[in-house]
Amino acid sequence: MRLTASGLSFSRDGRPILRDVGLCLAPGRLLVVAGPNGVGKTTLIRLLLGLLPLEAGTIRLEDRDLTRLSRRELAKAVAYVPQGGTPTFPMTVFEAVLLGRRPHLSWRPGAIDLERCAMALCRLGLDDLAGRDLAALSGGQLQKVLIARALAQETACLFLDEPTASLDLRHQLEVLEMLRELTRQEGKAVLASLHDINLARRFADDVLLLAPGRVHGFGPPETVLTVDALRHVYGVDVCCLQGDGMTGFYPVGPSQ
Amino acid sequence: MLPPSQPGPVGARALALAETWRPVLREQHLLAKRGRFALAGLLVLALAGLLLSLCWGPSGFDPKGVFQGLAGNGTTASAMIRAMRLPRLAMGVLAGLGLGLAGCVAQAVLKNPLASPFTLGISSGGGFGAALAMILWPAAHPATVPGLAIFFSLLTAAFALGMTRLRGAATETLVLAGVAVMFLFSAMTSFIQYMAPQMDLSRIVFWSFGSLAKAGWGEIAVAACLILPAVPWLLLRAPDFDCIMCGDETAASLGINTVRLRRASIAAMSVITAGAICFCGVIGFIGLIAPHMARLAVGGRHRLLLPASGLLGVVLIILADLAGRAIFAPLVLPVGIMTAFCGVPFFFWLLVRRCRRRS
Repeated sequence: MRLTASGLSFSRDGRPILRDVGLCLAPGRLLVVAGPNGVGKTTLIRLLLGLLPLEAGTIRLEDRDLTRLSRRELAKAVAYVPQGGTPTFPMTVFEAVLLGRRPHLSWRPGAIDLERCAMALCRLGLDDLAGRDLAALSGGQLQKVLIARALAQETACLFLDEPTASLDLRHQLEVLEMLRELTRQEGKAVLASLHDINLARRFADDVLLLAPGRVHGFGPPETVLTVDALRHVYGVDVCCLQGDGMTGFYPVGPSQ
Repeated sequence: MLPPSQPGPVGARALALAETWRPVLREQHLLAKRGRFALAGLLVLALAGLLLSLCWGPSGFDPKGVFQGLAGNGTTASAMIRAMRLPRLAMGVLAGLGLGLAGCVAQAVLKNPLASPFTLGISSGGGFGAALAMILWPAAHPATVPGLAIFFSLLTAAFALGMTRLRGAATETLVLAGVAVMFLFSAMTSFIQYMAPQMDLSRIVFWSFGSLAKAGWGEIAVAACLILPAVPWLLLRAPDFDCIMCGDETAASLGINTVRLRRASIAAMSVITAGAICFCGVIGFIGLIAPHMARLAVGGRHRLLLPASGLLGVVLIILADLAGRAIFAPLVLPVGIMTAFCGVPFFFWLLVRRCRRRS
């Protein structure tokens, strides 16, 4: 399912946060939203999920206006992985993943629902943890549980808010490998906000680079994430490192 | 750690995956079965409690006598069971069921383990209404007391609902506002008690202890009309409560209209609470602990948790009433006092057991 947004604007307490943001998310592609803290990455994702009211602009899911869809219809098309956080009450991993079936199930989860959850758990290597309480998990495991829930939701689009924020190097790579695999093998359209420029450069098909109040660039990572762009947007001088066929950035210091 | 990323024919991979996920499913089926058993156990416990409560009394009956009495054989025993023990029991069942359910819903939609039907101040509102009726019109029709109690409970609920309309009001804001309202109404009730003449004072205080003895069939009908209509709706929405417990954003992304669900739940819970307390007085505590006990028994999913919480409410109130009638017989202790006496130690025991299991 192709998601196109254009002219999105949003302000909070009269202070503009996003102005005229546009993007296009096609099936089978991984779009990374990058930009400094407070630039509106999470706000953008919330707008795209219909969790915040649009001030201006349109969001279309194929040929349908996203803001006119019911919450249930939207939940069947787009899954969302928020930044971690455990619920107040004890809940097992399996129960947490089963919530992803809510848009599909009636009152009682059927055999298919249970099966999809078990499959999603195994896919992320969480099958030994199915009966574990969420509060007992590490940050990396919790992130994977939330992704498993989104998989169980069986949507065409998947939005993730900083899925690598609290993860170590290995888990970061695992999660992003997983996301790329989902786009390649199942044709999902994935949108993730990331802080790590190097991960964005390596895994993204498209990058939307946000600067305060405007879009700095949208396109393939090698054209959007450049030394110049990083200096403009983050105010940091970086040097470009190359090796093993990969390109990375090393921050040198705040730019003058 | 990413099994699917290994290359290989798709069919073989699916098979290999199936080998891993079957045990997971088996475990879940087992857990679900255990939950259903626990729920059935609670039902049996509640029924046994009902029977015991009918049998127990100054003039004891055996179960056979009770059933004959219920069928109505024209004896004094039959008249006594039908006119005294049965209404008392019916009121207890309604109040316990209502408070248990309302507490469970309150904890889910307010995302707070300390929440109960009393957190939003609904019961204090009811208590104030009752006290006001007793001091203003001591000699008026007996219906004025529950009438005003219901009115003020619903007034408080309307205030809480108004709070949900405020943009950016988090659930903590709701709870804080509710607690503030609760203190306001308690202060006003205390004021009335302070000013009240001796006779009215004892009536007001006695009302606030909570008692099942005031119930006649008319009152029970009114309470049933307030409590029962919301029950099917709450049970139907059970899966949504699972979601909203995890946060509004998550719930919304799972297809739930969180604002509408929270508003409707608060309204339902308020009406239920008003129905439960207007004739029985403030039977605290059940709405707080029944959901927690139920969670320990059947787990956190609301499809089982809601009915279990309601049943536990019934069990607790019946046992507390029994204990209140038995301990200092022939003196009858108010059920409101007994629920705390019996419930707290048991609750602590459960908490300690859970802590031990965790560590």
